[in-house]
Amino acid sequence: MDSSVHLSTEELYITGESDEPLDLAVLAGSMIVLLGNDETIAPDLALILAGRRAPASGIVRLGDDDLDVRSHNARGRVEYVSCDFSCPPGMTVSGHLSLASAAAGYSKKDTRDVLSQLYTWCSLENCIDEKVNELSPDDRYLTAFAAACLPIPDVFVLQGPFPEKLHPLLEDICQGGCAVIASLPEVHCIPQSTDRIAICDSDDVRQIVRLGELSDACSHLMRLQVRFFPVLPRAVMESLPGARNVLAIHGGYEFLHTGLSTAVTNLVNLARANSRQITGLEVKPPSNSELMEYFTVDDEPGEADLFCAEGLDI
Amino acid sequence: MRRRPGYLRIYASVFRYMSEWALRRQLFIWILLAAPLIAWILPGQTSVPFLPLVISCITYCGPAAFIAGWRCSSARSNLADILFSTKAGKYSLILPEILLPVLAGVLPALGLAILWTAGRGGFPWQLWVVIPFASLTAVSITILLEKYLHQTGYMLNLLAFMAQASTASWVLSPVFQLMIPQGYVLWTLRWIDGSGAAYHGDMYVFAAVIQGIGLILLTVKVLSDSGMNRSA
Repeated sequence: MDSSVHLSTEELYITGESDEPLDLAVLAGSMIVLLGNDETIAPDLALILAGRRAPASGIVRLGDDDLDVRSHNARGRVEYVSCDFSCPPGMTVSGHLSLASAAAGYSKKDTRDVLSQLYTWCSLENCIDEKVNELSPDDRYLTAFAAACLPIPDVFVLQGPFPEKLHPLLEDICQGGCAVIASLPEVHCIPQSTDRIAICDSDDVRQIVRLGELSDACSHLMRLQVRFFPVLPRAVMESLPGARNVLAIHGGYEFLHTGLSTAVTNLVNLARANSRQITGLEVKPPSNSELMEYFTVDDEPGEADLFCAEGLDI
Repeated sequence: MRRRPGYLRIYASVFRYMSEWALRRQLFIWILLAAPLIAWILPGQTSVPFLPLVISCITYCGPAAFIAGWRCSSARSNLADILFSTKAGKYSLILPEILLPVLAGVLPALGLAILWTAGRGGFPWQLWVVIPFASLTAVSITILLEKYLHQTGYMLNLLAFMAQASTASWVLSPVFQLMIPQGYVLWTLRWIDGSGAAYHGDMYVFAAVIQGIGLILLTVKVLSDSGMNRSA
């Protein structure tokens, strides 16, 4: 993987309410997710990193050229894909991509070759002549993404949620040396190939964690909902090994458990031992606020950690 | 590998989607058809011949009807989303979106003007200049009135044209003839015919050029600000 920096921030304050400047460097071949819904700064930060919106203060720089992402020379090097993308009425997929290829500087002859490869890669062969505004949301997003690929940018900034069909394409792109920044509202939308996740609240980026750390947090915080027929007594349910915070819901229980496979095995055994049928099982990922609380709990002011005292030889 | 964008292909696309958008609006067709007739009927006792009025009307109302509502349309904002952030830049949209309505006014107006002047000893150079600049002014005024006065702007635009076409005595005052840009073509045509123009044709050309250039600079600023949110 190429380790050069494709995008970096310098003294970047996203809003006037931000406490600290955001220090972020996006490496070539890496994918970073800005996790947060529309009420957080994640969508705005995506726009700022794409050069579509001015930050409260600071600069977003592109590559090693020290180029401001909002300057004219940066055009075509950062591509932004919006989730509410639409085209003028009557514009077909091929019409849109032909226009985008003309804007990207492809000759007429090259356009044919490039577009035929792009249709195949993005699985758009069946909707070339369809009107963009009449496509399914997934295909419309793929069309916007295909157009964003044409200038061969260094950085893709994607506003999510986006279709799962896009995940392998993003992996290909990262392997090719491009960087991807995706603003996503929920944990379950995050692609497997993500490197880092920036957890955002309404003012700032609160924590940047690796995918493994997020995965651990999710397994710790995930909630399972199980329904039995006939209904299982609460006392029996509370005896399930590893189950915490057991809450009664209609026809069953909701509880926290640290290991999904262990929980499922134990639930099946519990149902069998009590002659019950499991009529429903659902795994609920943690909410963004729960994740934020989980990752920032150590930052709260309080008593000094003991290991600090050890370091001081007290 | 960074190459020059294919501007001609981009312009062709913008022309196509803008024409499709314009032809979907009934308003566009009605203004084009009705404006010359209303302007002719309104003064009643008009001394202005029908053909000069039609030439003047097409020059002004054609582009105005074509561009009215375009700036705020979803078709325009979608094209701006596609083009503004590319290497082709915002002018790859702004130039053709001004050029197409201007051509829609200029080409038929010049054609009719050539017919009208055929029996009058040739086509004076003033018409070659005043017709394109009057169409350019029509585009600018429509966009600017729309931005600052919204729907009221369209009505004001049309009423100003009607006034210019009128033969009322206050309209014939010399100051009025240079104040309202809608009728420069009409006054130039009347000057050619020797009927009621207060100034030499060069004065109308001068005023049309100055106003055309001045207003188009403001219009380009308005159009470049009303695309996607990008200030670079």
